[in-house]
Amino acid sequence: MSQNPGQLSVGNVVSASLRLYRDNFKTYFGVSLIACLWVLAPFLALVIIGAILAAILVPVITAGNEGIALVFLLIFLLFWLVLLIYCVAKSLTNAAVISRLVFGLLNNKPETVTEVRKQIKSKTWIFWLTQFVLGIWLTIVCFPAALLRQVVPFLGNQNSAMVALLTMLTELLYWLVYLWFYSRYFFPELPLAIENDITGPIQAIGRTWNLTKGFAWRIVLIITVAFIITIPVYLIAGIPVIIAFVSAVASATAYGGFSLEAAGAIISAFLFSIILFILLNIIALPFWQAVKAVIYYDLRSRREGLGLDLRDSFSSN
Amino acid sequence: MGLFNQFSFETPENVELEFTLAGIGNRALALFLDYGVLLTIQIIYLLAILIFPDLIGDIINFVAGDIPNIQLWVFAILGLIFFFTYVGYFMIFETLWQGQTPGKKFAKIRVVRDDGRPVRMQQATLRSLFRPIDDLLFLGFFLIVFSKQEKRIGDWVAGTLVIQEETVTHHTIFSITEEAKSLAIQLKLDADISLISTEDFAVIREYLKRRDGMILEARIELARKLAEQAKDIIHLEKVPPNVSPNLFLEALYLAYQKYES
Repeated sequence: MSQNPGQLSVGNVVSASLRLYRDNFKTYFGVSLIACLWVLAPFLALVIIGAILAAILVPVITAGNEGIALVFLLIFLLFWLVLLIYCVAKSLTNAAVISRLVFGLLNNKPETVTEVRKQIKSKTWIFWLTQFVLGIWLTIVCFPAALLRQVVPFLGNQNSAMVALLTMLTELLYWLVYLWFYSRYFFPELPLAIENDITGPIQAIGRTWNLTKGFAWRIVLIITVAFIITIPVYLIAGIPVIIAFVSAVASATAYGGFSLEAAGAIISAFLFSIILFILLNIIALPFWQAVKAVIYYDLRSRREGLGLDLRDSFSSN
Repeated sequence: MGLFNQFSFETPENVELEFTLAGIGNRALALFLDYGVLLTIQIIYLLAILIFPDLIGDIINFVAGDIPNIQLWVFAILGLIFFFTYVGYFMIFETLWQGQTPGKKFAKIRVVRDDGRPVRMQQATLRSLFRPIDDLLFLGFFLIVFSKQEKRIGDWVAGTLVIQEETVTHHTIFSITEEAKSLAIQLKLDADISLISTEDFAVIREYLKRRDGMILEARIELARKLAEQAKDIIHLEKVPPNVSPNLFLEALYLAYQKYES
């Protein structure tokens, strides 16, 4: 093989990720399904419990006890927030499972889904906390560029071409800055899931920062190419959505403006596209987790010599 | 590991050629860059026409006299220019650059014919003409991903493959210190270098190639580990004093090379 992992080019990272996904499609799809269902669950719960709550609270409000109703509502909201955090944590853990599975394949130490789940189960909340901390940190580091982007349009003469140009430039600058930081911190869940001595958010984020030193733009390019690969899938899936909407609008005009049938057609088209979108996410998630795993393995190979080992003829495989 | 598709072919002279196919990632990257260049060229065209509408009008009037619906003609000619640029870009580059366009050059891939020979204008043209179907309907994408030889319609019609350029790994460029050379001689006397296998040698060479790009602590740790393992393999009692693991590995590399030749 002309290229070993550890010396992968940008295009090869993406090709390898896709290949690994395809070879293990059933397994990864299954885990991804669970991950996405975890995210859906709190919203389904919201609808159901919201309906129940409405049934309970409406008589309370009409009886004039708005205060009690408000307290109930706030308590419910608090519980729901905790539920949301728990479900997101579960979802993120499942996503990390996929990445660790891919890493195991690359490292020639394959694991089963059950084994991986057992290993990382204790860090479920940390996965959420890490993303939360990272979100705050990204906002902080991108703040100067964000500030510039908001302020510049209002400087000086509103209509001058200079201001327009500067606005465009600061917009571009903001996105470049964001992309750079985003790729430097691309995969904190991976050290968390894979390395035993990484147990906290700051450690995981710091480790990702260290590993990606000098490789930010390369990772940006990989993310770009990976994104390009996903475009055909989304566009092909978009065709039924467009058809659904067009026929919904057509039937709406056929019924002459607003009628129940027309509304029904549009709502079902809407629901259909939501379901399709969710399905697409379930399909896309393992690909992105594989991309992260391949980048992570490649970086550890290049920068730490992962996989380099001298073996006697007895123990070599 | 088999992550990338290979293609092997036996020439009439019974020589076995093996290529690694480019893969969807590299091809998507190359296409993205090529489209970027094409877009830039088209924008320059557009700008030229917008900035110099009078000039264009005068040229057309001069060439063809006063024509009614000159706007339509300008659009039609523009459309033709776009199309010819689009097809011509790939056709010309792939013919002149032995199967590469600027994008493909960056991604280090190349178009060749099914038997490994360089492409000529015929193949390049066919590939180019089928490109609208492949790229705009994404048919090419699915065909590349799911077919065994990663052929899109253009490849299939023209009888071409897109392969990765083999990076030459023979020229391993890393520096060896002077002390390593004298240590190598000593090692050959003190230990049994013949016990190092070709795989071991490859690993040591790989370490020497990568060490400059490695994080310092990890590199030190890895050198220590490899040196320990190597020491056991060649039945060396003790590493000579004041010899760092790094130096030891360099010396082993040299000693094996000398021993091999």
